[in-house]
Amino acid sequence: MLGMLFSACTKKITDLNYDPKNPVTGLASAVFLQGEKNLSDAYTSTSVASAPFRVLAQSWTENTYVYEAQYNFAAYQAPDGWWNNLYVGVLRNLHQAKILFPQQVIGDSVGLRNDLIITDILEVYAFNLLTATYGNVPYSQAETDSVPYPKYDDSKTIYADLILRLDSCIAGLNLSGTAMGAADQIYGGDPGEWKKFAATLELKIAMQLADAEPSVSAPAALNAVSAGVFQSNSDNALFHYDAASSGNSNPIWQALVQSGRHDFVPADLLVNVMDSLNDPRLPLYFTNFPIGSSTYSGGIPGGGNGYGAYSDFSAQLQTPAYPGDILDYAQTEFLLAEAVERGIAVGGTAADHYDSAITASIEFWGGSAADAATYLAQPTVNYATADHGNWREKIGYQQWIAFYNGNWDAWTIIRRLGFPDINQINPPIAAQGNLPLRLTYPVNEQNSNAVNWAAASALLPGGQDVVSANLFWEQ
Amino acid sequence: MLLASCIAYALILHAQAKLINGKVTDQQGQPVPFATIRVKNSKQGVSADADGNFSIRTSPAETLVVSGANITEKEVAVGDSTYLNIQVAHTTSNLNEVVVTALGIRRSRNSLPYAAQQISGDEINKVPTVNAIDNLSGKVAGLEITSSNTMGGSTNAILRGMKSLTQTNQALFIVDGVPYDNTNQSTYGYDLGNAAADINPDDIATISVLKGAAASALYGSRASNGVILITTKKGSNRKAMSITASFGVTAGSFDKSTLPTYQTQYGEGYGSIGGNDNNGNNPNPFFYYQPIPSSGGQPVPIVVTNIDAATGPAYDPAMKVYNWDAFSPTNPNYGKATPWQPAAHHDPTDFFVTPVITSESVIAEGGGEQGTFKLGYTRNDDKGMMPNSSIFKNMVDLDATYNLTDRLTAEGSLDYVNENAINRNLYQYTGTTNPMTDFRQWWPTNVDLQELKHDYFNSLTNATWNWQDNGSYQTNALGNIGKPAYHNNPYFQQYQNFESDGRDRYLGYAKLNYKVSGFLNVMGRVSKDYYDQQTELRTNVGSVELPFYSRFNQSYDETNYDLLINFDKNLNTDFNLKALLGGNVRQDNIQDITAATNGGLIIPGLWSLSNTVQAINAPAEQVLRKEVDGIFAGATLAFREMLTLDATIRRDKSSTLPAANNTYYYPSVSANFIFSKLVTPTWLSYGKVWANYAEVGGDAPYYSVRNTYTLNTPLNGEPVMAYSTVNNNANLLPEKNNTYEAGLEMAFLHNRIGFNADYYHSRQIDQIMPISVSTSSGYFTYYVNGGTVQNQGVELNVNITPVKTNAFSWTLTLNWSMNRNKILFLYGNQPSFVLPGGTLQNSIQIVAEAGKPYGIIRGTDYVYKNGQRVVDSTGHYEISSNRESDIGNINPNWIGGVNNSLTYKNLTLSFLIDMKQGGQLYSLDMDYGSSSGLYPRTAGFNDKGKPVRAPLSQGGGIILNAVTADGKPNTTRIDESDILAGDYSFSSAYGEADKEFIYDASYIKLREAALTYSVPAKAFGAGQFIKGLDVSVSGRNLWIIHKNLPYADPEQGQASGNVSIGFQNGAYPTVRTFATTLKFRF
Repeated sequence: MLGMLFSACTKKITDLNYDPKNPVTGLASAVFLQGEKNLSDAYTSTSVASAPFRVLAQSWTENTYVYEAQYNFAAYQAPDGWWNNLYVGVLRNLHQAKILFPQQVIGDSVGLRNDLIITDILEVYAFNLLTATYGNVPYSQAETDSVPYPKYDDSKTIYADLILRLDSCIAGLNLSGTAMGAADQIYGGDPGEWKKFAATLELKIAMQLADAEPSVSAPAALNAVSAGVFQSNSDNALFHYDAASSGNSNPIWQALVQSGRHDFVPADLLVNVMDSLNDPRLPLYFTNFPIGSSTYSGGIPGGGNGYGAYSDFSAQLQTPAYPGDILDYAQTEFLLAEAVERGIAVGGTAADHYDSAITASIEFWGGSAADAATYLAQPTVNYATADHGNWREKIGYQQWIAFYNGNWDAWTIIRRLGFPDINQINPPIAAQGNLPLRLTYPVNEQNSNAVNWAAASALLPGGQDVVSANLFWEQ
Repeated sequence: MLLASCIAYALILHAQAKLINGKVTDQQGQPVPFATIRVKNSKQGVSADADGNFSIRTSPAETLVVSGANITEKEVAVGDSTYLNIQVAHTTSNLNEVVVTALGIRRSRNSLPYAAQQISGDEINKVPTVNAIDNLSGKVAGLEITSSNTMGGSTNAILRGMKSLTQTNQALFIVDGVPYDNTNQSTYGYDLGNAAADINPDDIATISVLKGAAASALYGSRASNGVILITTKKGSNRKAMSITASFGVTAGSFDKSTLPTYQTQYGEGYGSIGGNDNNGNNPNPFFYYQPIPSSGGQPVPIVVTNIDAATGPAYDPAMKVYNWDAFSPTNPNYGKATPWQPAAHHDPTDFFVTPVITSESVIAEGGGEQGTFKLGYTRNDDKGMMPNSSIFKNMVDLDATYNLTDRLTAEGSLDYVNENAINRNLYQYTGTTNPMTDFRQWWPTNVDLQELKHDYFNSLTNATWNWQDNGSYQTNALGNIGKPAYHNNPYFQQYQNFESDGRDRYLGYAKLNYKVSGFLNVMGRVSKDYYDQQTELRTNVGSVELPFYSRFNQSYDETNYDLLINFDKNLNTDFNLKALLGGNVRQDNIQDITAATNGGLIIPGLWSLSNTVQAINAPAEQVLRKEVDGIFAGATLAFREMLTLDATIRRDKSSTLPAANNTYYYPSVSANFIFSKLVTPTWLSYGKVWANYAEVGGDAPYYSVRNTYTLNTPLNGEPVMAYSTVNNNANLLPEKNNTYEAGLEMAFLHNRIGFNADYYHSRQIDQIMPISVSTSSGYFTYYVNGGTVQNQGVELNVNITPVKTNAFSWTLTLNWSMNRNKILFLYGNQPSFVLPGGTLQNSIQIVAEAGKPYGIIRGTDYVYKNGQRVVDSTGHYEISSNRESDIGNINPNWIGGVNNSLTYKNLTLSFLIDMKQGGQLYSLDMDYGSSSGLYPRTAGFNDKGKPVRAPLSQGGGIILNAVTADGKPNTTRIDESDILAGDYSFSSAYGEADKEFIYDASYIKLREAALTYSVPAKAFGAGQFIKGLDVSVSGRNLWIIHKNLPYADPEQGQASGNVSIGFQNGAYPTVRTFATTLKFRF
């Protein structure tokens, strides 16, 4: 009996504690792809628990359950979801890919360097979303295994470092070398396209600083343009979703079709503005309502609305393989138009850039060059004669229209340029205050990272962690 | 080596002499355990074992003296026989019961130096049950049972409060010495109950509850939550075979106080939403106003069916409107307008069916001098309250012992359980599929359940009360039926989207017992708890959600190897020493695999993984392996049955800890003193005090020492791998529980009144837990040694026998306990931590907060001034900017039970009152149901006698009882008439805080009542086939005498688990059950 007991003992019992189904080491390119996919998912998501920006921007609005449309985030806690998606879903995987690439890309130092730089560019993209959403955020101590409660870094300092990182990425990419290939579902590992992406991202970040830090903004914008920003829609950073499996399909399809739910309708503001401008993108964005008519109708932000009582989203937006668009040529041209208006010598005229932006957007959505020309020829749209007075308003409105699927960027362009001025022209029914200028820090920060959260909150204008506290670049 | 030398020593002793074997029994022939057998006028003596057996070396000329705690002393001459059956008489005391303690060791309760309480199988089965654990409620001080009261639903069994922040807090179940898995099997929001429900209630002889660490320390780390020790019935060695057969029928009725009351003034809709329907000419915007096929192009009033709220138009029977049934093709009202009024059958009881359980059980037992056997079979057919729901259970129990030689006994046992269920109850918030959440949260009273039933069975489609959109109004016809906007037809849900599951479970052991000598015994045992189970989930084509089929298969395998050496010897007439040395190897191997269709079903109603629109994703697999190797030793030194000292030590080595830290030791010391042996005033029958200190070590959860990657579904042919979101820890240390306790037990007036009270204090320290960190670290959690949780409390049992005559007796038992719980420390400076599972619908959180009790409910609260709620300029409450204010505490102040038993000759009446005082819960049902305007609180009449939901201009609206920011009484009236206008003030979605829906969870219940009549044996005559018959009529959950929660039972929770109480969603009604049982003995 004694023998039985001893023979029952496993010799090296700690070996039992290796999980036989999950590896302790990852494949660098596969981990990179997880990070890239999570970034596209986070940006494309319609979830009011992580990305309520379409609703805030009144591109879309909600049916019946209208918390976010009224600027109430308590029920679904979007600030937690957005933060977690970026820090955990995106940045943790990109960070791990950076650790794994040097272990696995052997004998190709140029390829390895390109792999690391491309990963770094996506990290910069994600950190820009974070600091431009919340303000001061953990940066220097983020993504370290040993610091469970990272301190928050000053937003201005983060911006400066992001621009530095992009400059060195642009300089470091070797266009004759290779990169991770098909594991990159945006550009197939093409270093040339990633160089343009980095430059365009730098331009975008630079323009976020244009009002607050013109001395940082202008040189960065010029650097970006001289490095070579996007030239056409073929440069667009489109993540290729996979229709073959629902988890890898476009999050919009998952939310609007797969779930069987009908939580959103197009918002009346966007529908009405486009209608008044005879916008050729109307049938590309929306379905007709009433069904069978040739008219369009949008729901009232903050109102109960009701699916089927308004236009629906167009069929192309509701397909499982519809790409995730995280940065595109239309946005590039809008940024350039703005740069010209701000006196930054990026070349060309504001009107030309404006026309190119709108044309790129119409063509991207499936319209023709002729549609664009007709549209631009209207005095209400034409840059010289558009109703809206100053350049902020003209560029703001058109960029907002083009950002129908731009989600966070649609909200941010309003925060940045002030147009369309939702607080004046279409405040939601029962809105809790004005359009949020930021998201509050996640509740989890308050619970777990309490000391650093309190310090960061105290530094906000007004010393309170509220959505009405403006970020340093929001003038 | 120590083990080996013990055995050798014993063998040498044995080789010297011939033994007399014997057995001590009472007048009824039942064994008397633990009697002391001494050779008269010598120091030599032995103790009988738990079954009364003893062996002693002596000569024919000697006389044996038999004594014991509760027997009269008896002398027996040895003579020539080698086997002695010594019959003794019991003394009257009932305090000297024998209690089964850790490792199956039976001890007289006199000698126990820790808190343990034993319940007999008869007590458990007084009211028939399919889950014996439920029937412990109110019967054990310090044991908090929370049962979900649904078919096969979960039961929480928590001893002395919550200790672990992230791991299970459920007591450990041990059946006949074998650990019995009690994992909660709930999955995807279906309550599949706990695995201990597989224990056959009919097979239970006794249940011992070992409450504290000292009692359970020998079981190792799993026992730190206390142990519920179950001993099953065994065959007896009476020569005649006996057969017991019982038949029972249990039927249920619904306790109306646990079902909602609806307002019946307003029907389906969402305020003036019809004004948005692009028809500029809508005479009443609370309806849609559109043409339908039969209206000849004319717009007609249509109920807003694509809204699931009751914030629509006021009922007006004079008005004819097109209700949901006008668009259901098989409904008699198809295409017709009907009066706008509440439906005839809108109460959930119109949906429920009568729950019925039938049970049949047969136990045959028999034996002879060489062995015993018992074979039992039980079948339960359990039909639940939801249509098309049932559980069938078959249980077979076989036990046998055989004396291979005088010294060597072989024993084996095999319990087999087979269980198949369909449509377990949903408990989570799903929004779409759970009929019970519909009834409590989204249920306008214009919906007729019998019509829904009729339409489902006539069309077999998802004919719904909440048609998707205006389009359906135009086009709905058989063959082209629209989809629901939010909720499936509940009959479609029960019949087409049914869940099913099944489990086969085997619990068995083989045991050899070798009696080396009268005082040394060696036992070896191999045991296994093994089950295989599968769960299938279905969503058919036509449902709100994407159709799918999924299948989960799991096997659970725990093997234990035990060796136990027992030493028991009277050192001299004053001292007795019992010692034990043992080893245990425990091996776990749990494997599961889950697969699901992807992207929808091709063929409706074909439940196959191949019936998938897109290629299926790789099935999710899990393999969990673990081994714990333990060695333990213990000793009990007793002085004249008056003073007892106990000490134990155990060493564990666990595979789940890092190699450097995986071995840990933990001791216990205890003392027991029966002071009534020294001082015996006449009023005192009995008195003892005891105290102990114990430590228990604990290991880590599976795979928490190193990070891994997860392979996800390849994307466009490219592999995708995600890094761990939990930062595991290669430096984890074992966790520890330190407990001390002390108790006092006294009896008075010839044991007519007795009590036993204890105090305990326990600290669970260095808890191994995944602490939620700032996710900017890239992780959701870090595994750390953190968390210190303290529990302290008092437990009290009182037994009173107010009347005792030959014919009539009345006994009263009271159990009462209070536990005070406090989180002393989490990790670093972290002030609070959301408990696993504590992130709930509507952003309610249940958290651990340093300095506060375990399980604080967080949500939004009001702003107060001088204790009164403050309103803003619109007359609505101001809500505090802190979205996570502390708004409730889930811990009860105390729990208790009072059991009365009145016996007159062969007739016994007993009833149990079960109480819980304090503790709070948040009701999502009341919150969401208020947002959708279901409950009377959202309607009715205001202070002016006008309807609350009438416009202000018509005298409607309400003034909230609150003050303005400057402290003056609120005078602003709120217009509640149109929810769409944004003034509606009910629920946390509109004007109220989550705090509004925090309720006191106290209750007083008449839990059990039973009337049993034993037909006297003589009624059957001598030598008849039937030797006995018990007839009983009983009931359970008969009356909720007191509660403070409207429309629901405060005991209803979210299946089982650390945060399962404190949050109520889709609460099922309480079912009063009435049972009749016949029990025959042949």
